[in-house]
Amino acid sequence: MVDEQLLKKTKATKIVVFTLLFLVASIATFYGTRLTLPIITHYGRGTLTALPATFTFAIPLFTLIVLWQYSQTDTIGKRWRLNLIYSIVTITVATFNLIDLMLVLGLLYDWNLIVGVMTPIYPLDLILFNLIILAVGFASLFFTIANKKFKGSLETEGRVNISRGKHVLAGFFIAFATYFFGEALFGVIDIFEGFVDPNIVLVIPVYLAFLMLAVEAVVYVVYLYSPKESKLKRGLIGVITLLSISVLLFVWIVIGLTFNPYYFSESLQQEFAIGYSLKMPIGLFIIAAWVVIPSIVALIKFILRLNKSKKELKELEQNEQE
Amino acid sequence: MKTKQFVSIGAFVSLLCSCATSGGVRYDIEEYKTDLEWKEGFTVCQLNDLHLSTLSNLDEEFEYYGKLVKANDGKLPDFIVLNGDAFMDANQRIVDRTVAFFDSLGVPFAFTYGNHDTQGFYSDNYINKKMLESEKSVYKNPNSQGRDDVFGNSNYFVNLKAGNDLKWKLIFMDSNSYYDWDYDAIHDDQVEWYERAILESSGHDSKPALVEDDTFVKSLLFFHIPTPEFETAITAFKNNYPDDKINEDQYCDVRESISSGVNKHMNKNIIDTIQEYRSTVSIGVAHDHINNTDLRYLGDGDWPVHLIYGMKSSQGIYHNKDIMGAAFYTLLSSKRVNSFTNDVYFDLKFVSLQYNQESSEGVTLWSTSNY
Repeated sequence: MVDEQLLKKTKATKIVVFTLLFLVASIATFYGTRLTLPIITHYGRGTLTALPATFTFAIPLFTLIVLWQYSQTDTIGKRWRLNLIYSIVTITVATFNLIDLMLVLGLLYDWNLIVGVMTPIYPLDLILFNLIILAVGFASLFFTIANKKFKGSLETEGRVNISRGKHVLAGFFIAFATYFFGEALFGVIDIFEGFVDPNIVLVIPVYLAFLMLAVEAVVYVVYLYSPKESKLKRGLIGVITLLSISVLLFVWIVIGLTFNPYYFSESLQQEFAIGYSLKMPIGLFIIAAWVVIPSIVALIKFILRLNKSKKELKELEQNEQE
Repeated sequence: MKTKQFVSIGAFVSLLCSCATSGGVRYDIEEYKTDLEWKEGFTVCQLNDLHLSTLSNLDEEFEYYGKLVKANDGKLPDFIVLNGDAFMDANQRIVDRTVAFFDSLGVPFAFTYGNHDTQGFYSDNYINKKMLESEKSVYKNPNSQGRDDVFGNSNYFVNLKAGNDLKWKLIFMDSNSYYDWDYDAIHDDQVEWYERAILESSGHDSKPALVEDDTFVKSLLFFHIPTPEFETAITAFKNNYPDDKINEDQYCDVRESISSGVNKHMNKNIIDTIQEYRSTVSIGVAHDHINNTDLRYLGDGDWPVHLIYGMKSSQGIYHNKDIMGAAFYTLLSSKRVNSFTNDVYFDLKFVSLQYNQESSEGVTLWSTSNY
């Protein structure tokens, strides 16, 4: 009874931690990516200024990916190695950022700690963030070293073993999901500015499509790698629902374009800035490629896994009868 | 249940339709107008493509612009035009500080939208709102949320008056951004709005059957993206004078391809209308950063329009340092005839200025007052 309660509490904590981290990572990934883009359009000028911001805003996403991998890793030894990697990466990034920021302060801002531009108290906020990251990195490193005995441990905790390739793929998926979730959150800025977009009805499906990727990520993570058939079945229903919604949103967007062919350029330039800079219809491509296609892939995967699971069950029953 | 579903779908489609076809409110042309006092030798400084972003060092940029606007004769101009792409990947703070900087100069200024201005960390209405709040900006948009019946945002004009006497008009238009992921053009309703702006204070309700050179006061027109006529004029100049930058009273320093806006669904052409009304004597554009021109364009008409690619005015994104600066227009109270027997209504000067130089003394690359 106590164990069940503890399990429930652990599960709830996990959901809260992942949700909060996902929200922070979404805002940070979106903002960080958009801060990095001008480096390309400025032909590398401003790299020294932009890199600390880029790396700092990437830390929440990195933490989210590592934490997810941590929760999916099958041995304690592997989790120990993940801790070590996380500690080394955060210490290295924070150290690099602090050195870079000192150079920027000395060379460009005459040691003025508050210049503004990127954020209201830039670069002071970045310096403070990186000091915190550095402290977290060192704390994590000391904890890891103190638990050196787990280094090669093969003790398992009943998780599904996921291949390294799938881990990398999932990492990319989470990165895209956070970026577009951040993009959708950014759409709320209109409300804060008291502005009602004249194209609001046409813009809504685009924002919903951005959110879909995050929902798909949750379905992938929670259901696809579950060893339970019931969970797989629920996942399959979820994916079919998501696919239907994705297609509906896509149709809504296309119909919207026939009503007002200018609404992307009028209301979504910020969201598809890369596409507009390159004069390529990357906006629609992104929605189709990153929203509809993953749903189709997920559907196929769920069906395959479910079939495999049924086959295994049948074989088990046959063996038992024999 | 079926009726409910039908009503819901009907309501949704109606909302979609109303959203796409409402077209906004029609405002009186007076709502787009600002009156300023005319003075002899009124000078207009055109700044192009500042591209202020989160990577910009604003202190350095503002120091440069402060010098640049004085680069003509050491004095502040009477009017400044920020002719599009002032912002690219900027945020609210950058817009606020830029508006505050131009306010601090104490000179009235205009702002036109470029194709990059709304690609920032703010709502699509933020710049519109800030320009309307600015103390020295003459930016007008009769609806604070941009919902008038004219496509785009920055469609407005300035009347330069000596007492009640209208001397010149400065007209600003939004050349819009993209259509089909390529550059958009000026829309038909904007051309109609331009006609209304020219007719305003002219004593005419519509275009008279016979338009003489002096029927309407002269005007300068500014927008960001060049029209296809720029390419026509440049090609003609290059074919006629392949080795020259300057020939007679024309200037053509073109170092990149011309990315003009075309929208196949538009039926009206702004240059045709300009030639019908014989008011606008020049179109000042930006957009292509390393093209500088002052070409006289006639097309099929007999009203010459100066097609002016102004100078890129900052080190943001791609540029050539030797042709970075500003275009200065000096408006004449009455026309003169130059040494090539062409009518001249204003003088134009391209002045180049470097970022790191101490003084505000620039290098004059082109000046029409020599002829």
